[in-house]
Amino acid sequence: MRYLSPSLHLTNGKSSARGAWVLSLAMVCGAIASAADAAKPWWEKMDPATLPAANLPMAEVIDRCIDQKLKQRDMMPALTAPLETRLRRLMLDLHGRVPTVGELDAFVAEGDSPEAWARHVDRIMASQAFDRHLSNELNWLLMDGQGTEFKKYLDLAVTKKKGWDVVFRDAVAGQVDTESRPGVDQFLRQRVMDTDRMANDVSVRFFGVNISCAQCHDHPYVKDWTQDTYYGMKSFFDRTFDNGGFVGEREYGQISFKTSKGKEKPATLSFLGGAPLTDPASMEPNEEQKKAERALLEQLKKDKKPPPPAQYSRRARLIETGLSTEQQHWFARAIVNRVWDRLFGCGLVMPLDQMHGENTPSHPELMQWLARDLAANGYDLRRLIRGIVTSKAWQRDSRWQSDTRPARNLFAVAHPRPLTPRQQAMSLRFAAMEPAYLAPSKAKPEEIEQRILNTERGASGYERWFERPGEDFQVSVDEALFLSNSNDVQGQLLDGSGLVKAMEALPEVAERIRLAGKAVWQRELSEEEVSLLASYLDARGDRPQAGLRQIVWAMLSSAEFRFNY
Amino acid sequence: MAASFTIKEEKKLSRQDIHFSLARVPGTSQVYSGSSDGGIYFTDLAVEKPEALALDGGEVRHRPGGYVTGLALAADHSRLVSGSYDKQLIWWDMATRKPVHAVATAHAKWIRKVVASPDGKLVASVADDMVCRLWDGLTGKPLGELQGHDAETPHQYPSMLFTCAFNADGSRLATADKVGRIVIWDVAARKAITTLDASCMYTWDPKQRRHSIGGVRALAFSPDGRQLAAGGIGQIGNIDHLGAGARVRLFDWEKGETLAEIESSATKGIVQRLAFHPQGQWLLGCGGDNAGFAILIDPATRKIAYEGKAPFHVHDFVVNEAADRVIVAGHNGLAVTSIAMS
Amino acid sequence: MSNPSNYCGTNAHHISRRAFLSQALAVGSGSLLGSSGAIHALDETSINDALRKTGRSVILLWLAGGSSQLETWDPKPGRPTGGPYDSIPTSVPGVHISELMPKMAKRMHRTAIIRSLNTRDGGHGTGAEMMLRGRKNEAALQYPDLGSVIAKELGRADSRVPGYVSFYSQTEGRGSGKLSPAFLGARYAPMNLDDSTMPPNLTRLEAINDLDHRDRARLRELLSARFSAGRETETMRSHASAYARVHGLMSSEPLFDIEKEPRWVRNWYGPSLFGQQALMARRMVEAGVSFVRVSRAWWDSHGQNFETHAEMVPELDHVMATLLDDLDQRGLLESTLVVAYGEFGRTPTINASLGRDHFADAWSAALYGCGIQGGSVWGKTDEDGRKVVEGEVGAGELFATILAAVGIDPNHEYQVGARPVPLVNPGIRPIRDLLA
Repeated sequence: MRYLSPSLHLTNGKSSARGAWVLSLAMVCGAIASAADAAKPWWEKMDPATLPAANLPMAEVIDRCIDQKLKQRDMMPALTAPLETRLRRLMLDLHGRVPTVGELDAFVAEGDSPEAWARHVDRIMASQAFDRHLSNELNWLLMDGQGTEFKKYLDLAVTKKKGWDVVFRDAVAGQVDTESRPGVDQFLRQRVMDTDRMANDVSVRFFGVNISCAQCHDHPYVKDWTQDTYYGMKSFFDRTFDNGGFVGEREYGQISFKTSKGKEKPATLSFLGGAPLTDPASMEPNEEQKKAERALLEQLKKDKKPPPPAQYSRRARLIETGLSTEQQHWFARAIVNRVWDRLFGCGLVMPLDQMHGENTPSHPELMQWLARDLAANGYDLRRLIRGIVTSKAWQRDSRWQSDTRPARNLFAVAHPRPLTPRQQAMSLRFAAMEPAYLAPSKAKPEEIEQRILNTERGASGYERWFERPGEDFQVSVDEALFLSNSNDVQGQLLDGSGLVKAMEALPEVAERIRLAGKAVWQRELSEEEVSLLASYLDARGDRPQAGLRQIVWAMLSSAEFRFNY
Repeated sequence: MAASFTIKEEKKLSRQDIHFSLARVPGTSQVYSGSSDGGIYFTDLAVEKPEALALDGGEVRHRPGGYVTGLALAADHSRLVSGSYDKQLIWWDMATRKPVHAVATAHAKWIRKVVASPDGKLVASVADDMVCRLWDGLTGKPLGELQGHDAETPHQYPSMLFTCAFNADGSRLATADKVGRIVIWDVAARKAITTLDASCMYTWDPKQRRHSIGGVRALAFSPDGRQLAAGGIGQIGNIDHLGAGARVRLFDWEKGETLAEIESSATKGIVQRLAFHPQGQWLLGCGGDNAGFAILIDPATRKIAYEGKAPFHVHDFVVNEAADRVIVAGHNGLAVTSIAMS
Repeated sequence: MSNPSNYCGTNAHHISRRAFLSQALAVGSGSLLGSSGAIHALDETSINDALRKTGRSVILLWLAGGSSQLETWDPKPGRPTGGPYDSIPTSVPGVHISELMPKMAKRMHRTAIIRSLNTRDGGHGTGAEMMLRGRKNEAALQYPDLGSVIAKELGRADSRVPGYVSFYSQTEGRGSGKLSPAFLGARYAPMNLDDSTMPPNLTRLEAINDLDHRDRARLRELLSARFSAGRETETMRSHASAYARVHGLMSSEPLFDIEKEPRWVRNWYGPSLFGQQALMARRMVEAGVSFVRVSRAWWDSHGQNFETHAEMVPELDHVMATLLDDLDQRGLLESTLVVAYGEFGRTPTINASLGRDHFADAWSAALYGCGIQGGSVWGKTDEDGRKVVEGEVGAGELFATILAAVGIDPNHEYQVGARPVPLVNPGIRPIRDLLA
C-alpha cells in the first residue's frame, strides 16, 4: 500500500483530482467505510430530511448539489458554453442531430437568456423529432437497437407520453394489444430461449444491477450478491416459455441450482436479495390438467395464437414488487442514472450496471432527490430531461484551462461525448444538405417537418459504419477508412448537389467558407480559420469544386464534428 | 388408449458412474448394464437392497473409461454382447458370465449401440465410423456391413452414428445419425430400402458458437412394423446446453411420410431411447438434460399423453413383458419405475 | 516538418508540430481519474528499441468459452472424471495428451504445456478480462491487454501494417474480456476483424487523386488539433490516432486478401474458418504485424461436452500443427510465439447432460515458438484433475512467460502519471522451465 496518499478522499473507490491516486486492492470494489456502517447500503446511511426540498425546481437542485461539491474542493467550474455550442448540444441530445443553418440563425436571433433557453428547450421537446429520438434511445437501452416490433410500441409509448413505469410494466408483462401495445412482447420473445439472460437483462436495464456474476458462485466482490440473489431473481422468469413464437407463462414450477460446492439447492423467489417471497398456495396441476394444458398449447401453436396470460404470474409479481413503495428506489435510480449518463457522458453511479449498495453515487443527495422527484411525478422522463438540460451544470463549456481535467463525475466541465451512430449518421446528412432545403423561411412548417423526416430517414444507411460508444470508447480505424474511402461519403454525401452546390453559388471565397462553418460546425469561423481554408482552396484553383468538397470533408471528419461538446 | 397415466419410481440404486446401456434377463428384474467406467454390471432389482456386481472377464474387458454404450442378449439369451467406445465388441457366455469371443477393433471409432435381432441370431452394432456391422449372435462371426451414412456432417466435422433398431420380425433394421439421416435396411439382402429425414434434430450454429449439437438418438419400429419413431431434441438456440424441447418424429417409413412432429414445450432435453408398447398402446421416450424425463405418446392421437420426471437423465431403458414396468439406466443410477394406465 | 501520416509519437515530432500550430496543445486526460491517469502517447519512450528491429510476433489462439483441459492437454483416462476419451503418447517420452490431438502429439517436443493454472475466476467476462491482461483491472486503473502491450513493445513505429489484429467471427463472447490498450493509448488498439476478414474501404476512390487525398487528411488533422486544445480526452485522441493510420493501412490491403495464398496452402489449413484465420495470422506476422489474436468461440460445453470437443479439438489440433509446420518452413518459428488458451478450463465432474461446467482451479495452456523450450511440461494436477498439486501458477505467470519468451522484461515499468505500473504485478515471475 506504499502509494496511498494521506490526503485521500475516496468516492466510488476512485480518487479525486489533484494527482492523488489509489492503488486499490483487486478484491475491493467500493468505498472503504467503518466496520459498523459497512453492512448497510449507501442509501440507508442517508437521512431523507437532509435532501433539498421537493418543491424546488430540478435545475436549481442540480446546480446546488454540483456546485456544493465543487466548492468543497475549491474548484471553479468551466464557464457557460457559447450559445451556438449549447444549441448544438441540445439538438444533438434531444433530436439526435446538429441544427441546420436556418435553425441556428433562428435560435441565435432570440438572444441568450435563461428564458430564451427555456423556450428553446420546450419548443425542441414539443417536436415529433424529439419523440423519434427518445424512442430510438429507449430502443438502445432495452433492445440494443435491435427492436423492430418493440420499436413500434416504443414509438407509441413515447408519443403518448407513457411513464417509464408503464413501459416497464408493458415490457415485462408482454401482453400485446394492436392499439395500445403493438409488438410489446418482442422484449420477452427475444430472450425467451435463455431465461438467465432474460433475468439479467431486466435486472441491468430496469434496475441497474448486473447479477450475472453471482450465477455460478457468490459474487466475488459484492457480498450481498449471492447465488440465492441470482436465482431469486431468475425465479421471476423461469416459468416463462416459448410456444410457437409466442411467450407463455406457466403457473407452476420451481428451479433449483448447484452451489459452487456442488450441492443442489432450491431457489427462493426474492427481489434483488431482499426478503423471500412466497407464492400463493400450491399451484402444481395434476395429470388431467397438464394434459389439457398441453393440448391447448398445441392448438394455440397451430392457430398461431399466444397462450393466455397466467392467472398467477411470477412476472406480474416482479412488476408489482419492483414498483412497490419499498423497492421502487432501484427502479427510479436506475433510469435517473441512465438519463444522466446520456446527457453528461458520465452517470452519477458508475458503472451503470453496478448500482448496488456498496457503490455510492458521486452526488448521493442529488441522486436521491432526482429519484424521488421522478417517482412522485409519474416517472415522467421528459420532466427529468427538461430539468437536466435547463441546469447550469449541463450548459458548461467543454474547455478546461489547465493540463489536468477534473474527474468527470464532478461535472465541472462538459465532457466531449462521441456521437452515437445515429447522431453521427443524421448529422452527416443534415450538415451536407443544401441549407435552403431545410431553412424555415423557405416553406410551410409542415413541409419543413416532412423534409426533416425525409432527411432523417435518408441517414439510416450510414449508421452501420459507426460503433455505439461505451466506456473507454476508442474510435476504430474502420470509421476513418469509411470516411476516407467510401463512395457513400465521397459520391453521395459530398456530391455536387447539396452544401457544396450552395457554396459554389456564392461569389466570394470567404462567404463559401463561412457557409461551410455554419452548416458543418454550426458556428461562425474565426479569421484565422477562414484564412487557413482559403489557402487550401487557393492551391486548387484549377479544380474548385474538388477543393470545396475537400474542405467540407475535412470539417465533417474532424474532431469538432465527431464530438458532442 | 387409456385416458391417463402415472409413472412412479419404485426403487432406485444410486451410483457414482453413468450407465448407458441395459439388457434384461427375460421374465425377471435382473439386468446387465454398461457403465462409463468400462465395466458391465449385473443387478437384480427385485431384491430389497439391489447391488451392482461387476462382470469379471479377466484380461478381456473394455477399457476403463470407455463407455459401454451397447448391450444385447442374443442367441436365445445365451450370449450377452457388449460394445464400447473402446471400439471392442465382447461376447459373454451367460452361463459362466465370462467372455467367449472378442473383436478388438470391431469398429474404427466409438461404438454407440448394440442391438440383437428379435430371434437373437443377429447382432447389429453402429459406431462413429458411420458403419453398421452385422454379427452372428452366437459366435460373433462378422456377417456383413451396411454403409449409408456420410462420414462428415455438411459442415465438415466428423459425424456420429448414434442408434439402430430392428423391427418386430427382424426383417428390417433402421440406423440414424447425428445430422438426422435415417436409413431403413433390408436385413437379409443387406441393402438400403429408403432414407428418411429428421434433420430437425440436428442443430448447426454457424454464427454464435460455430459447432453442432443433437442428432437422432433413439429409434423404434411400431409393433406392426409400419411406423418408425425417431427421438432427439428440437432446434436449440443456445447450443451450450440441451436447451430445447424433447422431440419425437413419427414416420410412415414405407411411404417416406412424416406422420407427426412432436415436441414438448414443458419437457426439455434429448430423447435417448424409445419403445412402443408391445401392442402399440403407447410410445415411451426417456432421456434428459440436467434432469431426467419420461414422455408417453399416444400413437393414435400422436400427442403427448404424459410427461414427467425420471429419477435421472436416462440413457437406456427396458420394458417388462407385461409392459407395466420399466427399468431405467442413466446418470448416476439404475431405477425401476412403474407405468400405470387408467 | 513531420509527415502526419507517419506520426510516431516521439518527442521530436511533438515539438515540431507545436511550432507549426501556433498554439500549444494542452495535454489533458479527461478520464475519470482526473489526474493524468493516462499515458500520453507523446511522452512515452519505448522500452526496447533493439527489440523492435528483430521483428518478433505473437499469435494468440483464443479458445473462447473455456476449452476442456481434460480433452486436450491434461487427460485422465479411466478416472471417473476422465470422460470417455483416451490419452495417447507423444513425441516426448512420459507425456500423454488427449487422443483427440494426434498431430500435436507428434509435435510435443516443440511445444510447452502448463497444466497447473489456478486462476480462481470461472466467469466468462471477468475470467477473460484477467486472462487477456495477466491480471484483473483495478477500480482505479485499467490495464492494457496482451496484444496492446506486444504491439507497443515489438511494433515498429513506421510500420505500414497494423500492429495488432484480432479475429473474432462468432458472436458469443465477443465482448468478453474487452480488448483495450488502456493507458497505452488508441494507437495500440486492435483492428477488429469480426464480421469479415477484409477491412473494407482500403482503396482510394478514383474520384480523388493521391495528392488531394493526403492533403485533405493533413487539413483534417490540423483542424482537429486546434479543436482538441483544452478538450482532449482519450476518445478524442483515439479519433486522431485512427485517422493517422489510414494511409499506412491502405497500403497494406493485399495483406488481408487470403486469395493471394496459393490454393494448396489454403487447403492445407483445412476448410474451417478457424484454419483460414490462422493462415491469415501467419500471413500477418510474416508481414510484420506484431500481434494477432485468432479467436475460436465457443467452447462452453455445459451439455454434450464430448460431442462438442469431438468437433472442436481435432480442428484445434490440425490448426495448431499446420501453423507450427508452416511457420517452421518459412523460418518464422524462431521469431513467432504461438499461445493457446481461453478464460478457464472445465470441471472434472461430468454433469447429467454429459457436459462439463466452468472450472478455473486446475487447467492448461500451450505454447510453442519464439523463446519456448519445446517438450517441457510445467505443473501437475491430481489424478482426477480436481486441483493443482505442483507448480501452481496464475494469469500473471502466464503473461510474464509470454513476455519473457519474446524478449520483453516483465519487470519493466510504464509511467502512468505519477505512478509506475509494472508490466506484471510485483512478485510475479515467468516460468523459467518453459523458456529456452
